[in-house]
Amino acid sequence: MTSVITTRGLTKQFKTHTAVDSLNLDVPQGHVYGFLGPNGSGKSTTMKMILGLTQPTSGDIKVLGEPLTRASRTKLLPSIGSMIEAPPGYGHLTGRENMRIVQDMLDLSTPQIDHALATVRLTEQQHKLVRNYSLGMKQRLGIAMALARDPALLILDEPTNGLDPAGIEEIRMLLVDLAGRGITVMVSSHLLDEIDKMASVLGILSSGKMIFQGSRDQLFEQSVPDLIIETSDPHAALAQGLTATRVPEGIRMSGIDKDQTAKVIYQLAVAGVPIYEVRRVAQSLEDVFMDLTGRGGLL
Amino acid sequence: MRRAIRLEFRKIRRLRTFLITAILVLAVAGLSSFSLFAGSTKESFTDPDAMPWADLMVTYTLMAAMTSPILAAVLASRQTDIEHSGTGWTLASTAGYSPGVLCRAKLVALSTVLLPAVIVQTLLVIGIGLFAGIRVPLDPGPWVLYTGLLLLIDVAFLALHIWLAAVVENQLVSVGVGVLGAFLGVFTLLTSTAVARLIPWGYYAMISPIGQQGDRLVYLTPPFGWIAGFLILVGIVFAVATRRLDRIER
Ligand SMILES: Nc1ncnc2c1ncn2[C@@H]1O[C@H](COP(=O)(O)OP(=O)(O)OP(=O)(O)O)[C@@H](O)[C@H]1O
Ligand SMILES: [Mg+2]
Repeated sequence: MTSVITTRGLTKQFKTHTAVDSLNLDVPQGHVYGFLGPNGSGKSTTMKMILGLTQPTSGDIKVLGEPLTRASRTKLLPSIGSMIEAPPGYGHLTGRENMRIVQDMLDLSTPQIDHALATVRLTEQQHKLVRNYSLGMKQRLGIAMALARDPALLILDEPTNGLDPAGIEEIRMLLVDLAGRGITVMVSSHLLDEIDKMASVLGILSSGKMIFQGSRDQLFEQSVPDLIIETSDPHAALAQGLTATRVPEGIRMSGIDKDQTAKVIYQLAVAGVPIYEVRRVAQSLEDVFMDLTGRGGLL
Repeated sequence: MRRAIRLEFRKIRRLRTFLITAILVLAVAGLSSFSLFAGSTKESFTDPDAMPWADLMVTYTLMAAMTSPILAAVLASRQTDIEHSGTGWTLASTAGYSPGVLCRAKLVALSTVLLPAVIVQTLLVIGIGLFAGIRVPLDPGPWVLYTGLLLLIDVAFLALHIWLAAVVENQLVSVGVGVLGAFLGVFTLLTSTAVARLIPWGYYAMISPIGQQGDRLVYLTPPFGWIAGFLILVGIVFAVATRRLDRIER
């Protein structure tokens, strides 16, 4: 699997605050890479560094197989579509006129512009002033501006911000479709649910550090769901010196892997505690995410 | 760069740049020639010793010093503010146009608008003079010279205001400085050149090809050395400042 974006030890320091801390990012080609993290975890900063909008304090970046430098950046930019933080768009111009500016900037053809507008379903509203666009329409225009150049790599920072559920679903389908056509998509969000349905690879950031990178299944393996031991005599179970909490059906234990589970069951059985059932709680991806990023840090 | 300039002309649409420029040009022409229609001035129109054209030029330089700083500030601010509000800096940057390139392109585009405006402004003032009935022959030299220098000083202030509008997001600052400049421009016209050459807006007074000697108006040669020095200084500052803009991280 070839990587379209690779970073090694990527770090960004703002005065005393380290916004991004030695990040090793690997974004595989033709996938939707979900870049997750709570507010302020450094997602936008990382994306800005990949686009050469911000200089890293240290570390290396490779994009589309080339080390990112001043010279290579100029050559790479036409193949990277991006939208960082707020969607761009001159309010005093129409959507169409904004697209004409992008067209002029990058020497694009008119069919490319038309196609991009149609893809985000903005054709009908293209002659309205952007000032009068709804938030969702502005977001779509921003995506159209990124798409118009037919990029090999698409970097979108919270593209579903402000979209209604139907709009979110549309963007999701669009990105999955783009990835199907070989375009690499890196998309950030602080909502796991939203990204879970489109991303095949996840990178999770917390306070500037990468705490997980891999597939959804690997993510589940990382975090062990709580164990529930159903018993009629929770007192006796707790008396065995286990770190557990009481729940109506028995006791609940966190962070217990397979080996430890076997030991606990043996210990309880030997002590004569009646065990009716042992199971793992069903865990949502959101739980896993919370588990990894630390509770409370998430909006 | 040529493409960046074309982009600026695309953005100029609906910013009312042309309308604002036209209104100010008409205002300057109108205010400058206002006194021509006062009854007492009429007598001087056929008397070469009364120097009616020089009189008109004095009012013109005063009106230009008062309005030009504001015009430069408003045009520069409107053309630059859109980059803040529309996330244009980032959009351009991800297409390979740095903020510095944008600013330089803005300067060229706005100067292109001002060039015909200043020429038309001077022609209007002269035209109204003729219409009002000045019959003394016109010596075009000082008028051509003043118009050319006025344009150059305007371009210098456009540059400074584009930079200011790019650095300080709140456009009240840029426009406020322009208004302050208008006061200073008029003030320096009324004080000595020693003061005028130390104040940037003083150069609106420095370029005036006319002066007072006793109670008579006389044509004089503007201090080209100082004016050239000022323009070169602004050029260097703008070049360095826009290059530095490329390194600001937003
Ligand atoms: N220009 C800057 N100067 C100083 N600190 C900054 C700057 N830009 C970002 N930061 C800090 O870096 C950290 C990461 O910011 P960043 O915008 O990358 O977060 P994010 O993950 O995109 O958050 P969000 O989900 O809210 O968009 C924050 O603590 C922020 O305050
Ligand atoms: Mg962000």
